[in-house]
Amino acid sequence: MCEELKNQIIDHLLTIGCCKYCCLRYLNIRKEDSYLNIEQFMSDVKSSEETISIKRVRPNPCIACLGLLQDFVIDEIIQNVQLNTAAEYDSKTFTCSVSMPVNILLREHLVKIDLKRKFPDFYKDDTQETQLNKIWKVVIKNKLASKLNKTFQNSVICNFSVNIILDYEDEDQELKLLQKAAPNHFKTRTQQRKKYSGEIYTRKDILNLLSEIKDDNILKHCPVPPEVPLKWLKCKSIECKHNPIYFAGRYCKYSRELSQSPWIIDGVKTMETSVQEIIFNEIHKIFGIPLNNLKFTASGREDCDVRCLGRGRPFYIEINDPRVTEFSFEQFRTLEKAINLSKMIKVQDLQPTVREDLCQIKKGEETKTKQYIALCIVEGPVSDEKINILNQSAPLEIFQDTPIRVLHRRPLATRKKTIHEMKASRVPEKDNMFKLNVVTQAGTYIKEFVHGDFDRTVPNVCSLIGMEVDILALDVIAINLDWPKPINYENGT
Amino acid sequence: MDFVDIMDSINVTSDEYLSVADRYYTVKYCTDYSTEENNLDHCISFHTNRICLISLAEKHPIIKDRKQILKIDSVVGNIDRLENKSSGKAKHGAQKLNPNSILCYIHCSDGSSYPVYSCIKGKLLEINKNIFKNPQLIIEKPRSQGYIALILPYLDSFTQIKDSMMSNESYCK
Repeated sequence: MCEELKNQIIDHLLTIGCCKYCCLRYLNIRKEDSYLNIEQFMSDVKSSEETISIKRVRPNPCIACLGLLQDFVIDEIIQNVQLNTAAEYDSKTFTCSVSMPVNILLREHLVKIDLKRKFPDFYKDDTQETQLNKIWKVVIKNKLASKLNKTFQNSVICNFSVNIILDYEDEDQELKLLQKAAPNHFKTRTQQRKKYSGEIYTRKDILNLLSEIKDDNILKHCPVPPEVPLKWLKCKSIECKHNPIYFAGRYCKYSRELSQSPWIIDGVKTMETSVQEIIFNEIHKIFGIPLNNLKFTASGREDCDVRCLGRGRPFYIEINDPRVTEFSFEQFRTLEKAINLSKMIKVQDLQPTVREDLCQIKKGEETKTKQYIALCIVEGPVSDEKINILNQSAPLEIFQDTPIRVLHRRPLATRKKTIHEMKASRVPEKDNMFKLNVVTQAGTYIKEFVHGDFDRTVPNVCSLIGMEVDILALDVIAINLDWPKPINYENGT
Repeated sequence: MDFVDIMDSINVTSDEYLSVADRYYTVKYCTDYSTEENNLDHCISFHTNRICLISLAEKHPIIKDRKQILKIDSVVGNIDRLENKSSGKAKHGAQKLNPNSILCYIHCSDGSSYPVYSCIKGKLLEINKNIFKNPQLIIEKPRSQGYIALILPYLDSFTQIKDSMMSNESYCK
């Protein structure tokens, strides 16, 4: 590029009230070093006497960025007390983003029109200026890093973000000029305020408009170059947010009067507590995490009157916007102990896990086999012959219509399920009862397999032995999913 | 071991345990379609989840006289109740029923025929296919395997219709 022309453009931009950073942006300079050592870069530019005098007066808010890149606004952000929230987070890294008022888009566009008119050769290919928010990151990241005592990281890999929201007092006033230039574009938004919840100027909409509106039309209504602003951008608020972290574990349920999640009918809780609530309350008590930041997901669920024994049912907990993200082996054991005081449930294998592993839970729900013990009762004494029939029936394919019990909230369908293993055994002193140990495909309804659901599940235990059979109690013995990994409680891994 | 054996986990000593048909359902009777000469009493079992199971009542002649059922006709007007199809948990596309809608006709060996009414406003979930293969189920196990249809009642008229029906106690008096 011709140095002479470059100098002329910088001279012009400084004269109309651009900051030094924006000068470089409009030359489409992308090298970070140029922005970080801007004084040196500018001193290399041979300026005319006239512009030097302009450079020396107290800087005005930039006509393009309204101060976003200038010390005045940068310092206001760095000194804002809301940044102290970031100290609550244990993340060693951070990323940052900025939300700017929309009138900056218009101002940038107006500067561009001016440059295209003054320097048609340089801007004839519609050269894009370097993006404002990219340069803002370049300018602020080191200052933020030392203020927060965290290392800056690319937003793609960083889990902790600081979002800085800026606004500008005269935003709407300036955009009204654009509205005058394109009144039809804003018609629907001004007339259907309810639909757009009163928002007339949105980033996406203004960007669309600016990409199609003719320069001549803008020139009739808006000053080109834009007027030198009297006010600086203001820091409206700062939001800190950490991506969710996850705990995994397994729970056993020993109570027949406990649901997995709060069971609410018409706004009234039907049971005092639930597996989820017992676990959440302890997490809240021990780690101080607000209950609203917790979300419970398990690999399927058992009815509230069904126990879940053996190694338990895999589950995970999503913790939203966590302050603390590192938990020790001992902390998980402390949490387990506190939860297990309830006696209604037992939680084990608690451990941290990652988002990529969560799909295991769904897999377990849909593809893994389950093992149950059902206590069955028959209308009369059960003969050895009947017990033998049951012991020789598996593997067995059954056709199960959606049980009436859940038909109000599930689609009606007939599903083919496999009973992989089945073993019946007698109960001491009760000749009209037997225990049925079954291994089934995921998604088999056991209660209905036993009593037949009015022959909507066929074959069923009744039809197999030709007697009326009902189920008195049901326990889940195993959910055959190898996730999460078992914890070795002795050596701490 | 943290838990007790399944035998000890519940109170199994109680002799008065209820069958599936009694455990989950409240039984009501609809006598609206009966006349002096012609009893057409229906029995409606309301599941705790509000799904209704329609069957013939004890005083219905088919049950009382233990008639021989020849044929069940699922075609009502130009609609075949067996062709009922629904999709999704909201049961879109299911046949809509008024209390007066006829579910099917039962033809007996003595030449008598009886319509079976819906008794409930709602969506037809299914007509029991097993009673077509083995019609005597209607007489032998009316409130279980011999049910006639399952209906998902509409919420708006549900309580009103249910309350207007006769309770088990007053029907059996």
